Amino acid sequence: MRDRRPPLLFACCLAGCYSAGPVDEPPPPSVVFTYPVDNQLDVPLGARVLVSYSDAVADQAGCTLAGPDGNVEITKQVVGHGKTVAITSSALLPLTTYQVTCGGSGELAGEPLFRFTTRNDRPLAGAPSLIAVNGSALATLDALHPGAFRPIFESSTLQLVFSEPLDPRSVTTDNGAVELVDANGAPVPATLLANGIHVTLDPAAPLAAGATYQLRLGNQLADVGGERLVPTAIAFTPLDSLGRGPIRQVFRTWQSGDPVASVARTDDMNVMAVSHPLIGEANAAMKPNVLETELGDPLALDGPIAFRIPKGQRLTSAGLAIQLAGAIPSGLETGDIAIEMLTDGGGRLYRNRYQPAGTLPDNTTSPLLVDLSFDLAIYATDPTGNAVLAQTVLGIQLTGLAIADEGALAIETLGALDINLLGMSSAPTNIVLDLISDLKASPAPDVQPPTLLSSLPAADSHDLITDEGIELVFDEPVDIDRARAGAITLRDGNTVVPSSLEIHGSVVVVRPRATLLGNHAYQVDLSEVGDLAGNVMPLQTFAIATQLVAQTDVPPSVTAVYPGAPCSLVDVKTNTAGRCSGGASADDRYRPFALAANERIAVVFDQPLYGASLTLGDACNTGSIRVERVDAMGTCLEAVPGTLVKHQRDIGFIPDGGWRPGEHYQLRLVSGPNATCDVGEVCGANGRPANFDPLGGTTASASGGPDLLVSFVGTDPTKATTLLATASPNTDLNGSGRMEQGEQLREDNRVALRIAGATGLISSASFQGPDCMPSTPEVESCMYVAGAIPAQLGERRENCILPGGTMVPTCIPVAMSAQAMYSTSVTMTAGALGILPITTETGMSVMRVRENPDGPLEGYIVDRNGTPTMIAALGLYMDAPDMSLPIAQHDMHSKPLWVTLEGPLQFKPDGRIAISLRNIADVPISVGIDAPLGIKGAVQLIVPAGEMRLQLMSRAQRGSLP
Amino acid sequence: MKAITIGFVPLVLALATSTAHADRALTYERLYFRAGLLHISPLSDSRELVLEGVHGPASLALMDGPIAGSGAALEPMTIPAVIAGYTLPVLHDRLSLETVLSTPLHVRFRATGSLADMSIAPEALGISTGVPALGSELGEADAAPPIVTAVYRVADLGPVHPYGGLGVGVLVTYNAHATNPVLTEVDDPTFHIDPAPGLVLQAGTDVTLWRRVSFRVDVKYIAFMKAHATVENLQVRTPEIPIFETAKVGSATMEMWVNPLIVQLGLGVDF
Repeated sequence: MRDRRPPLLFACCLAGCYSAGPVDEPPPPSVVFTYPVDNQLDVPLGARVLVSYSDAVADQAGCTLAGPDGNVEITKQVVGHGKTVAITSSALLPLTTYQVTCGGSGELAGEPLFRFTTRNDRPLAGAPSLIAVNGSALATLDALHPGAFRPIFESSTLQLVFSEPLDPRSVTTDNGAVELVDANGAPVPATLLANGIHVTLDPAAPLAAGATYQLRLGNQLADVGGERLVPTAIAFTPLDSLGRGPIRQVFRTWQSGDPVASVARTDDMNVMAVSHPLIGEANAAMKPNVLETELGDPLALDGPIAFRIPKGQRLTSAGLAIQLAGAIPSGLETGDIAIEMLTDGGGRLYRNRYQPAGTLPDNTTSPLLVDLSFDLAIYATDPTGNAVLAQTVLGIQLTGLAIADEGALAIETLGALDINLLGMSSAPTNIVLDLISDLKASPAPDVQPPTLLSSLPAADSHDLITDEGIELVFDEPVDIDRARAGAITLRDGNTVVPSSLEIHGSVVVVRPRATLLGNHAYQVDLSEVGDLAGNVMPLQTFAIATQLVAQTDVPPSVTAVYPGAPCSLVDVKTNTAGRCSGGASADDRYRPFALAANERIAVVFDQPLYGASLTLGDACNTGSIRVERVDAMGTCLEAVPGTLVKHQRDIGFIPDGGWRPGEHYQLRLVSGPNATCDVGEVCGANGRPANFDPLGGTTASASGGPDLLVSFVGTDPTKATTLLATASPNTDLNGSGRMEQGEQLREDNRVALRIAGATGLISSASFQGPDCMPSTPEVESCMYVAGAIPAQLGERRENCILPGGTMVPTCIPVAMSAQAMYSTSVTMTAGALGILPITTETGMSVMRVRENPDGPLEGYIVDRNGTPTMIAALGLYMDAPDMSLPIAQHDMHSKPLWVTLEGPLQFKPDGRIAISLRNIADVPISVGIDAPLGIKGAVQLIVPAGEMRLQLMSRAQRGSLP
Repeated sequence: MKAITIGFVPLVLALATSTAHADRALTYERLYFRAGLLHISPLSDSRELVLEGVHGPASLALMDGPIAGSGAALEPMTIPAVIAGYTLPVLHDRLSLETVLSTPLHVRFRATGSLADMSIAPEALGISTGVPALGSELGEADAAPPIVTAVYRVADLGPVHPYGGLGVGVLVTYNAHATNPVLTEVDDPTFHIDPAPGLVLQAGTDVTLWRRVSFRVDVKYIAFMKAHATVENLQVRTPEIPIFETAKVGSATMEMWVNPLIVQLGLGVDF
């Protein structure tokens, strides 16, 4: 037992057995930690892959990342005091398994270090399926060994991942949806949360360890395309992690000067780093926070120690300084950002998996590893920033290491999550969370009840869309169980409207399960609404009404088709996509259309659609909506597998796997030969088949007609952010082109026309109807505008030349798709020869945006004294297809107009983005009249500067269906 | 062999002195031996055990510094021993030099106070570690306590010859090792005790039984003997935190006033 090595060593040396090599050469650095861990599923595409070593590595360790088709282009960086190799790639594909191999010696040489599978959050054709429970692939689950990847404990929250996003209306605890039952089949009370592909079920009380439970997923669950899940039941038996009982433990965020700084594996501690071309790089540093946790019994799992972070606890970080494209101040103040545990988070501490079994923990070569998963509500302290940022992020999986030293247990967990970015895109966010044990710390108590900050639609408004939800923006997350139990209700008189309640950070969406009545008053009751700390807000009630969509026999038309043009096209040639049917033969030709691999088809209509008429073809030449892969001659090769998403006024199509670069595709929206809505035709809610050649007329008699056919080519994925902005609020909700009784005048989207004079034999002109600008001495008549513009916000550009020739050092180019705006009719009387009055209605006017002949039609977002401002010079074709003059002709056909629009980009209190554009100079419009007897002349109109108003709004982030 | 070694140096010195003196006035009564039993009763008093270099998981339960209420002591022992002395031809033959020869000393260290009765690391982050109390057994070592004293016979009361003495002693240990089952369960910690010098105060009496045969009662007290012990590579098993399995505690030092009281009874002859 005594140490006798020195004499033996001495003797050995005498015998000449002493090794010639240096005996004190340190061992080479060994891998101690990776993110993701081996076999991790649902890894966000923008995740930073980390390989961390026991000591500094001299180079990037020869790491490679390989997918099914071989090595992937990656960027490597050594961080964390040289100990960690960080790998990023923009080439990762969704739902694909990759493997990471790093240089090594011995048995590990050339062998993959770990594998992981990326997240897919795009809709897919076919029924949705469950692909993981608590990180474990479904195929590995069974009753005896639940959770091959992440054990299921009695205190675990069940985190489900589906193959594609689910329709939030379908995710309920109703029979046939999501049910958790015990061995007797009795339902287990639990909090149900859902967001996209993630569903979380947090039992209200710990499950019984060793008892059998069953998770039943029924065919009430549907994807966003309406396809239903094949019923599945998963039995599992929670492991006993608590044993003799939980042990309270307190952690706080690591601060500079705290012990165990060696836990850091990257360059920054406690930070959320958001990266997206739209905002560049934005970091939010964690503030001092305290988390109370419960450790499981260390003996219960014979080694690993489970832990639980009870829900309701919060972390705060400094605000995000959001600059568009990293260069233009967004004008959005988030204030401090708060993160609240929406469900019980948890995980386990376990021995280092990269060392041989049985290796005892060692802070250098075999530190303990940490697995942490949780569901978050993210919100902000600034009301507007809160409305923009508030969201729920489910299924977050962090991994990391734990180092016990200097009297404390320090934990660093790292991982990635996808954050909804300004309602426009999903931004990869890498998070580093460093905690340190501190039994003396205690979290600040929450004693403030929640407050309702705003709602969308606003209280007492008449703007609720019948198939959308109501967003209630609170200043903090509310207890969704309490809300569902009756604290938040939507009432129709005294009748509660059956609704699903979703939580999106600090926003609750009240989503009626059935389409609401149009033009109907409802009431939102907030009674006993509380937060998870039990603070209850006073009773509050407000009224809200659905939009009035007046009856009309006018057929629906498209305001935007992306890719494409808002009309049936003629004169299609090999090198042009043609021009709009019914336009002048000299009209500009559209350039051939293309769509990036990662974009979706979007079509926006000017009035509600008849949902049942929207059928996606599953074979060539079938369905009212056909998305087909075609050959160069346009012959259908196959229907593109994908998902059709239907909303009240728009549709989208997301292809499985994206568009293949270089391949030819066709989108066809089928109309009909007559005014009757027949099977296989796209029709409005009024039963009229769509009108895709509005230049030929927009009235009821124009129902049906040629199909809308757009040919396009797939291209490489784009980094640009596409914003499908619609003119909102909109006056002409029924798309009739006229003002109907009850329709609200929306001054944000209108064009004021002023008569500037008359020429020729037209001696006078005046408007019939009210003066829409009574503050001016002149009489103006307003056309109220409906429209939509798909716009792509590109990457930052230097030295931009703006319309008018001025140059700014930095701008964001906004590529706009040339679409159409429809405006309501005005009535005008022109006097000919001073005696012959000609009175006419213009009917619905169509303003087509013209493409730029030299390149993409671009606007620019620039910094105007701290306010992001968009500037765009547009060429328009103006048509009044239904304008008819008695015994006279007019020239309102493909009349070219030029207008420069400018206005700020703002964030609304409800979280939407609004670009409020106005013309910066008078826009002259000359309406030529040619009457018999040589009576010719023109009415000179102007749109006064600032009176062409176009407010482009993003959709409701949370209330809209995906 | 070790027993002989214990008093070898002073004995040689004494013999050398004796030989030099014998050249001038050799007398067979100058050299004497008293063989018998020796009982050592350490009047030990230790400072608290001080931990150093606590790091890693052990730092969750311990920190560098003293363990409150801890202590250590030496166990008493009784061994056969011989006092060898030489009467110097000065001061009317009343001054002698003495040393002690004995069988090997096997010193056992005992844990006392909280070190024996309480776990040194009962909890880590509020979690019971399962590390038990050490108990009293701590470690042991072989010891060579060379003692040299100068003894002055204060009176001759017939056959009774009381004396008093003063000298020095050093506690030299070797083969020190921990024997505590808690501390040795994982690995063998190294146990080292620095040599501990002390001042010897001595008193006793010889009683002449017959001619040159005497019986002695001798009492020594070694003052100021402070032992400094170091235990390195301390590791303990953490049975209630199996994720760690063991914890490296670092090293521990203790300073202990040994101050043994030595009582010896012996029968011997003068030469």
